[in-house]
Amino acid sequence: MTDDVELALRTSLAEQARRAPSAELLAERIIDDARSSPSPSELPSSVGWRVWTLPLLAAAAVAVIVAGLVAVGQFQDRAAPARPAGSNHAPATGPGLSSKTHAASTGSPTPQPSPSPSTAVSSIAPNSVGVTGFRVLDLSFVGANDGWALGTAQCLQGSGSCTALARTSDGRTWTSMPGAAFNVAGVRACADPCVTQLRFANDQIGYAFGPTAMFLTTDGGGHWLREPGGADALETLDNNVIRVYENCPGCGYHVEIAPLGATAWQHVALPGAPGPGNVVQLARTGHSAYLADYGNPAGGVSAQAVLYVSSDDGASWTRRGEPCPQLAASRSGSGSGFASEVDSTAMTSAPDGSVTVLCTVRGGQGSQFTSTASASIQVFRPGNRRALGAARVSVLAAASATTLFVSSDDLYRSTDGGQSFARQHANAQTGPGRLRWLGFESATAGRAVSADGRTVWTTQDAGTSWRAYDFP
Amino acid sequence: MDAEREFARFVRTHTQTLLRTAYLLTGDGPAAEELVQDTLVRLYPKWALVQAADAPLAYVRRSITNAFINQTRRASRRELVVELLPESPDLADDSGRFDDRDQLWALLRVLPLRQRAALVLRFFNDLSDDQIADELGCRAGTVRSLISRGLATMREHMINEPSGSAGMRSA
Repeated sequence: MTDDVELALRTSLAEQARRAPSAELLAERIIDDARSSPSPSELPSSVGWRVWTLPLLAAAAVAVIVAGLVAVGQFQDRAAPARPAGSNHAPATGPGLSSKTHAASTGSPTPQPSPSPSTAVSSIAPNSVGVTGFRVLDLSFVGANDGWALGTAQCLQGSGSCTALARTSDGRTWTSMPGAAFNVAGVRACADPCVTQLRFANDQIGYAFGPTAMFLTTDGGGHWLREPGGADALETLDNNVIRVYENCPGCGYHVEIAPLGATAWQHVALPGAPGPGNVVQLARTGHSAYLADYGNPAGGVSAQAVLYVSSDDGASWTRRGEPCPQLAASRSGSGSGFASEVDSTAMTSAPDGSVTVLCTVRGGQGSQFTSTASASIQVFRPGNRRALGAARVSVLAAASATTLFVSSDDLYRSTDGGQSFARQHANAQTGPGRLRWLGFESATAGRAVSADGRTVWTTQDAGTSWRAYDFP
Repeated sequence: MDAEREFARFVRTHTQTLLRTAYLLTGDGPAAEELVQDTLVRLYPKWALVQAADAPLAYVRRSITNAFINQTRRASRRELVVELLPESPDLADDSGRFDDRDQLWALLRVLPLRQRAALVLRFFNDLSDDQIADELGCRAGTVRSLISRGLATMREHMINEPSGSAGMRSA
């Protein structure tokens, strides 16, 4: 009997499978659709999606980011003169942008996880890091002048690019550190172990991580010890660490916490059914932590995002669902008679505890807006739904609940909580434009990395003026 | 760039195979297309990692299977699967009980998701217990249990409910 059922089932499945739709057109659709996503080569440059909430740096008012690898001296400083406040209105706008207010678009984001290897120690020899051609992929600062940069540089031996790690402790010069025992984007196709981001908790303890690999240093980046697993997101604050990872694509994200520098992690359950598991983003400020599990903004079965909130450093979480308000048909202008779905596609927290999300109206209309909640995160208040255009946003950042930034073809700044955005700089010589990453350590002090990774920008006045340092 | 080309090559080569598995899982053509498309597009940014896997096709199929189970459980806004039998299988024709393969197909579609996935992976994809366990993220013993329970349920319905039609709740 069992054999009969099994045989019949096998035959039935084979017959039914032949009724599956033809894949010819679907394959081309998939390829076209994928091309609108981040390209594989962009995989590790997820810094634009990261939220950086370092402890407030009271003395950061005079902080200056620097560029320059010590081995060759200081980098060229082409600091831009401070621009007077009020000069940030929009000059000419880019193609397809509306006049002064512009901005954004979907940032269909980043990478996915995959099974994590578990190894004890770094498995590849340190790269020979050149001191020229340094291009920043990620930054991490633990003080006004104490920071690390992860990136690529010309190899000292042979040609091509090598993983590069540099440190500054005086805010003026950068020293290359040869102990980076991992690959990054642009180096060996980021073969295992591949890391994408860098976080330091203090001048000794830091983490380099990616979806499939994680390293810990306890000597300020001099040596790295590979830890089991990987992390799609990791943030450290208040002497503890939260990491988020996924065992396999679509399996749902897991959260673990650990004391700073510890190798034993404690699993923390996220409430409810698994989120969409497309891209995850983690932000921390004070004792609060925010975890956004994004869906696919192109729509489909894994669409809607879920926001989780913790008020105890990640020890427990509540589920907030999709933070972006859903629009009625009349507002969306779709004319379809159906309400338009709105997806959150980026999140950032500010030093004042507020949380801002970038909301994208589904359906290819390019309509986007920001929505901000105060520290108590009771209510998200949407900004002007017409304030942002359709250009692809690579970065969302906030200095406070009212001072917001988005970067697409240029940097755009709002001082009214997203009701309007003003283009900041006509060209890259006077201020940051297209960015890879932007974050604020306080209501006034922030840093940004240019899209090409060559320039680090610093502001001490909430983005009114910027100072640039180029890596040679 | 290489990863982009490899992605396109993989998609053109394997989409039909993946689509068949997705169709057997979802029981619905458009839903299967959406499942495959969603999964591949989601994997595209990390295609270098997929290529580095021992068996990229198995890696992608595992992603599809997991996406199917997780997303269906989330009661998506879009209807993907029919939780109740869409039609009452005609089990009255006792003489052709096991010849009526549409009847088995209908029964398969109301099995709990993991049982359904295990049966498809075993009897369509011809995977071993260990391979199915890897795809479903469980132990081989659990796979054997899922398959055994799935077959038992199907057998029971075919024997005891000749009129068919009972809808089983997905779990």
